[in-house]
Amino acid sequence: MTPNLYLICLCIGFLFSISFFYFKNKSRLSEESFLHNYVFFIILYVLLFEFYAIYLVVAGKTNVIVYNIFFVIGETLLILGYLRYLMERREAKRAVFIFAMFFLIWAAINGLYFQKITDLFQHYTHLLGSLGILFFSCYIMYKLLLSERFWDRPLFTVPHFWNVAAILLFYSPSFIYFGSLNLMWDIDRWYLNILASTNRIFAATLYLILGLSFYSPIIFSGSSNGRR
Amino acid sequence: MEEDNSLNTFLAILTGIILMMIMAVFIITIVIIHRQRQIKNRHKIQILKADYENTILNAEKEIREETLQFVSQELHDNIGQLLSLAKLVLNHADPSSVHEGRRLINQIIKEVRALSKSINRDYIKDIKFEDFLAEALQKIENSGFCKTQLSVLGNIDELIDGDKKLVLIRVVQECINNAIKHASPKLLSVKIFLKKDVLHLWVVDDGKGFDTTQKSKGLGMTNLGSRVRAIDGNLKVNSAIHKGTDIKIEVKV
Repeated sequence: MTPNLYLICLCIGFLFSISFFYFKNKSRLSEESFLHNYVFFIILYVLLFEFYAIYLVVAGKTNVIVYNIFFVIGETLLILGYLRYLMERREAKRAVFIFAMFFLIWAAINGLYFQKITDLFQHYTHLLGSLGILFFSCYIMYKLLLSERFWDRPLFTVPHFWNVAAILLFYSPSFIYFGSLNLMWDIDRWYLNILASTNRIFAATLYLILGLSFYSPIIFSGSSNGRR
Repeated sequence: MEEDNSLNTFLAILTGIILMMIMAVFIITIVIIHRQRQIKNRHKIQILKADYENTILNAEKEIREETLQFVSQELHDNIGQLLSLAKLVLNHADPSSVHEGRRLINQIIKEVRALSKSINRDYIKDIKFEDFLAEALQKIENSGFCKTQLSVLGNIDELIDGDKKLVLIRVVQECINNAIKHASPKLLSVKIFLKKDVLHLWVVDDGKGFDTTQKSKGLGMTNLGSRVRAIDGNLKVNSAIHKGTDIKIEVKV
């Protein structure tokens, strides 16, 4: 049930994100243009690799390498790029860049020596990437949303607030769940299903929010939290 | 073995949920703090706006008062004297007295016209900042109090909006008045120039000067500072005893 739900949410997120191209041409939303393009690309990227992973399963092949390359490494780098773009201080941007480089080196070492990239989910790489994303997301939440850039706007009308919050909520439990799948491979199928389903629900929420977030200035402009 | 795995799985799910809850609490806290800060900032902006409006109103009021004082002085010392003189001259009915009387009346008409111009409410708003300064300094020079100098670089009037001009006029008036009242200078100079979207206004005198480290009894300097700040500017005062005073004002345009 949840795989379908996850894919439906991902598609809905994609559709919302693609429809925003029409809205953003209307003047005041144009400032978010580049970031919307970027987030749209992330959703499209996820959609494509998810369908490719399904195709491999249907064809009777293993898809773990697809997730290792496109999710663990690719998506982590894309999200780090998004967070880096949101940062204003040069030192913070540099820190994200250095972390991304370190992450890539670690991914290569882990893939070569500890968890073979074609056989096992890259838990150690994912753990490092998730921790980095969590750290930088917390930094953005605290530094950027609270003190500098959006002090004069209600938070609910800031698309990046929703995006960063969704990233935080997805990555905080997901690295534990993904890790558990590796460490407890021989566990009861029922538990495995619970873990996988929980994870898919978080992921579905993330992509749905990424797709909807850029509508927040329109949705919340008249509500009590969008009050100016 | 199976029990161990079940426990591990349970712990993994629990840790995930706890971590997620922590993040949720963190996000909610950020939202609450952000909202509180917004309310505080809005309040601060309202106070600043009220302060700004107050500064403009005060500046307008003081300029009006100063103008009325000037008009009263002019009526008494200049026009009143000229009228008395005209009356005396016209007491004698000979042609030369009539001619002199006519000349005096023409002069009085001119003076009254000039005065009516300065009473006009829109005068300050319409006059160029540069012209206003030239006129104010000319009055001082005409009174024989001290020599004056005005230097203006660039077309500043197009860049200063009405309210800022009003405050700047009031600030310059205050600086000039201070110099006249306390400094007894031989030369009073005003310099204005633009540098990277910042208007620099210097009022310099070579008078008595004062010790800037000592606390002033009056509110003059404090008022000057708060007025300049209200128009997003910055005020620096350099002075030393017997070395004159140097007031530098910087305002973003």
